[in-house]
Amino acid sequence: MKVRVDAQLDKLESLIRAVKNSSDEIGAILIFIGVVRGKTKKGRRVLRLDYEAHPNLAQRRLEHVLKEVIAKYGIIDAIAEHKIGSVNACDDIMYVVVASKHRAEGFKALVELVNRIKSEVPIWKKEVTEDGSYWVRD
Amino acid sequence: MEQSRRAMKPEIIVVVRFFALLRDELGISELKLRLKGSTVLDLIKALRERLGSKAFLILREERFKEGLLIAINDELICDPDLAKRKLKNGYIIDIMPPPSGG
Repeated sequence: MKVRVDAQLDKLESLIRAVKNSSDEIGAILIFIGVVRGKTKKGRRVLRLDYEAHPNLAQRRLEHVLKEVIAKYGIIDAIAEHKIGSVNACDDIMYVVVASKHRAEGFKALVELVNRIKSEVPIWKKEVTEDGSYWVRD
Repeated sequence: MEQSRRAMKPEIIVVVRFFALLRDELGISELKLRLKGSTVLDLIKALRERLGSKAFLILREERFKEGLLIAINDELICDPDLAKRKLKNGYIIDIMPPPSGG
């Protein structure tokens, strides 16, 4: 298990390799890639998203969420990384990688992880568009 | 009598930090507050007094607004009896908007 809240994300290939090597019981690896959408809901062009995280709590909360979901679904291994700072349109923001024996529990765990990361980890984003910037309220 | 009871209340100083949207809307990132008492309710009263017309951004009556994340000394607090929780001199209280990551 690994979490990271940082200005950089690891290479996705290295994360896949890491979970693949964690057990010979793995039968499925599921991946979520969060990407900065180039348009707002109202169709305005997004230049970038500026992410801010609580300096100590974000990483700890992310770890807590990961541990709970791993235990709940009997997942073999999981990694979650979230970028902070400025992220340009079309760039990657978040990687969540889940390795499980079978795909069914892996899919459920992946969906729950992504939802919980978005709603429970103290990270916030400001959308910077060609018309100005504002904090996103999810 | 009431006056003397109030005078007996311990005074403590705490630090309150605001993040992201709340920091920008309040125009404050950090506050040092002297509390007349040592509970979160005393903190809420002091915040209402200090923030004045902007207090509605974080408070609803004698509580923090629903959905806000509250941390005391880097521990997230999910306590229905938060207002009764004791604070000590030098504690750091973080008031955060609902997450919007991802």
